[in-house]
Amino acid sequence: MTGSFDQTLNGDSLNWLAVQYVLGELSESELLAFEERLETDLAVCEAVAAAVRLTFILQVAVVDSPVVPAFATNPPRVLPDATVHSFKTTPRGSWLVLAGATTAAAVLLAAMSLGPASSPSTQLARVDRSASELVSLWRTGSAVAELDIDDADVELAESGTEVAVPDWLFAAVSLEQSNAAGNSTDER
Amino acid sequence: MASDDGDPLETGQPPDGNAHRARLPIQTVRELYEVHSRELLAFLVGVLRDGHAADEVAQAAFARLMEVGHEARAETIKGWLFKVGFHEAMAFRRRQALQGKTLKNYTVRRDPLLANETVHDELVRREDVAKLKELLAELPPDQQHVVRQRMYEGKTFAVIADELNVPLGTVLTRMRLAMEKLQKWWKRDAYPT
Repeated sequence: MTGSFDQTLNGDSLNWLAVQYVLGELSESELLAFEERLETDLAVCEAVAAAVRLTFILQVAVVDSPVVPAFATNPPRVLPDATVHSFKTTPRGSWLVLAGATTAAAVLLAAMSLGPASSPSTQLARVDRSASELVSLWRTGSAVAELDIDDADVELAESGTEVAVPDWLFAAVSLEQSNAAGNSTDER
Repeated sequence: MASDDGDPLETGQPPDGNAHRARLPIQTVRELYEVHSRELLAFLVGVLRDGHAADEVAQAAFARLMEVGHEARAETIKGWLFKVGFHEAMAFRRRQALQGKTLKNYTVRRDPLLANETVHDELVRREDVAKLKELLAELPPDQQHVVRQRMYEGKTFAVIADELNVPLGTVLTRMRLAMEKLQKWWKRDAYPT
């Protein structure tokens, strides 16, 4: 054995040298001397193998370990992705958020449905007839009799207040008129 | 594809039937592979700094074992295997040097360990990581800091010493003490010999 490497090294000293070898911290002369011994000494080879495995495992373990408080003038460091990941919403958390939002929406709808009888939501819930049925009722003039209309709506109509007629109703009536015209032409 | 004389890989007999040239039975090679392949691979990663290259050289070493392993004595077969692996690694380096990749990388300032995913999975056990995390947390903060800076940040000991404004020897001592504790566990619990 040549160079500065002590051939009598064993135990902790050998392990430490192997770690330095693996980490690339040996000087050129130390490295050449160490590698000479690798060729002939199985214990040195085993120390290198152990150092490599320990280094790999340590690299993984250090990434996931909490950062040790700096005790010098070290700048703050950015957390690695693997660490940040633990703070991200997990798939299970996403389901919980979705469930909470759905519940809140349901509660809000229930609260709205408990409002005044003439509220828009009440009117919307009551209108369940098809457009063609409504047109038919309108045409026969029996709409008022058959439709379930609140007194408030009747009063509104009687007061002469201008009521905005929806576009779909105009369109439906026009369609009905043109169909009727078409039918009368055919009958001729 | 067995002949009447049997598959030479299975029987250990060469095709020409010369018993004195009998190779190791495939079962023996398989057992030796099971026992030594991971450690050999780790050793070669340490020598070559490259997981792909180490994997390739380890395969070459076991190929040599199949060819001429019968010439080694059974009690020294592990030493023989590592020696062959080391020689193959040196030959690999020389080939790399001839191909224009500088040999200086291996002899002056060596690059951080490079491992492909397969090699890394082969060498890193999940339970070892969990245990090592526990041990890391038990180390004194100054040792933990040096380990983290060296192993994760990839800083040299000299840079760490400079940043901490302490002598290089202090940083080396901290790292050495930390590694000794971890290696004691390693030898006692993870891979007792």
